[in-house]
Amino acid sequence: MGFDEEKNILDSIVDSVIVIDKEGKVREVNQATLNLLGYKRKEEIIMLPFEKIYKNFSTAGLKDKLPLAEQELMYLNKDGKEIPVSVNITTRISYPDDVIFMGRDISKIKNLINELTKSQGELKTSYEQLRFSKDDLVRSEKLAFTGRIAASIAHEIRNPLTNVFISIQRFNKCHYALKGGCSTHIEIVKRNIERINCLITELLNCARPAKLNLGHYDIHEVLKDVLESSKAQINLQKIKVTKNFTAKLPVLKIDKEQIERAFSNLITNAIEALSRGGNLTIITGFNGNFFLIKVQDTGKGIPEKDIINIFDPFFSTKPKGVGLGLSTCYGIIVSHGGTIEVESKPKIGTTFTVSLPIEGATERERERE
Amino acid sequence: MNSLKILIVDDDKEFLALLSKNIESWGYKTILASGGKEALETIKNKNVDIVVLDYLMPEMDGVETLVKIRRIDKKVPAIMFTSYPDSRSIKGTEKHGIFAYIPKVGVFTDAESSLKAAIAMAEKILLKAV
Repeated sequence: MGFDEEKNILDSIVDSVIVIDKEGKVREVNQATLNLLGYKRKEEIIMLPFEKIYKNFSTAGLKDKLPLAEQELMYLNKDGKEIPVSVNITTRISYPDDVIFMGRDISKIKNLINELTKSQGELKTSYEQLRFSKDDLVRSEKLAFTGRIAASIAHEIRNPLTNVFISIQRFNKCHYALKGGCSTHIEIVKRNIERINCLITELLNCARPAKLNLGHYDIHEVLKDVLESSKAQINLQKIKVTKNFTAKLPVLKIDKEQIERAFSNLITNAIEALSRGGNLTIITGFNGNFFLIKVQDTGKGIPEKDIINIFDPFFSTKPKGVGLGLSTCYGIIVSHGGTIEVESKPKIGTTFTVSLPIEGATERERERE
Repeated sequence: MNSLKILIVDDDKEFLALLSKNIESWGYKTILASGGKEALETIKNKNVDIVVLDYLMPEMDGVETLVKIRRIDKKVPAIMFTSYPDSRSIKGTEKHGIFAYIPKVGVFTDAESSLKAAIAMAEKILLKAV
């Protein structure tokens, strides 16, 4: 084959071919290379040092590694613009000092890969958001459903319960001279009627929280009151309480009684988890439009499989628990336009994070009847 | 002195019996009706001074019953029991001339004293009108 014929073949192929001599200078290129790098004539590129062609690439020790396949290099065109290229690098038969670079432009593929990676990232974020919303929706649906049946059950149970109560009152009046055991029984009946009634009230409250009686209150004072009422138990169990309160005064528009009940539930749960002592920490702080309150304990923690159910009505991990405390809490916080989240690791502890809007529950949230 | 006749309307017959005993112990006379239909019959045929109605009743609820009672007697004071005192369902019902709403929540202890007070107040107004 003649010299021209060989050149003809080289110039016909689409891939860029560059031959570098032992001094690292360009000895030969094909047409595709000129096209790729924006040179008009071979003379412009021949004898250029390879640093003008390849970015951050060293030929030191290269020979010992050859042949190298599918190396990603960055070519530099005539204007210094970077072009990502995938090259196969080989020695030249009969001219072992020469190194041949055969490569193709992969900028399109790289762009596609970047876009794909970005889309994948966006998809993952969307998926996470959707999963979170779904969990939230499932929880809301559960509560709404419980609310509906709770209302009818409550009504159905309260009617006969009321009759029992009135009857026992009359019975007591009729036989008020009863001494000893009988009056005790009447007291037991009355007390248990009250218990059943309270359960019904709690169930109704967690599923369909009572209308908010809003006022401006200092959350720190509310938290201090709740801690104060649990003081005896805290001391008995030798729990160390730490208050990490923010310096800024947190006056929020809340229903004091309900928020007190919500935090009472959280703190009671924490105290129960710290049956063998430990630390109870309450941290507060402002975060944008919200005020955060974290209730942290170093107790036995909640197993991963239970976390998703923790706010469900009647879900309890305690042998004598009814399971309405946390769902009541959830209902109260949500009706204030806030959120509540839980993080827990068995044997390490649990953290409940309550987030309340600083501006107070909006009209729309309060009309949720 | 003639004691006032109080018509009590509630679908729970046992509650009706128990409530009537309590009201009678306060010095009033009671007439019982276990539903709207019976209540209307009573209003047509007997003299009733005060009406106490439950809201949630099958067939004809408390408000519907009262509306029909009003066609016969526009002035009789009406007291209504409601299980959901904050609910929208009782909004706007005052226009039927409901003198007092008694919340029927819990086991009746609060409801009883509210009812007694409401009846006493209605009695005062009726006596003044004479």
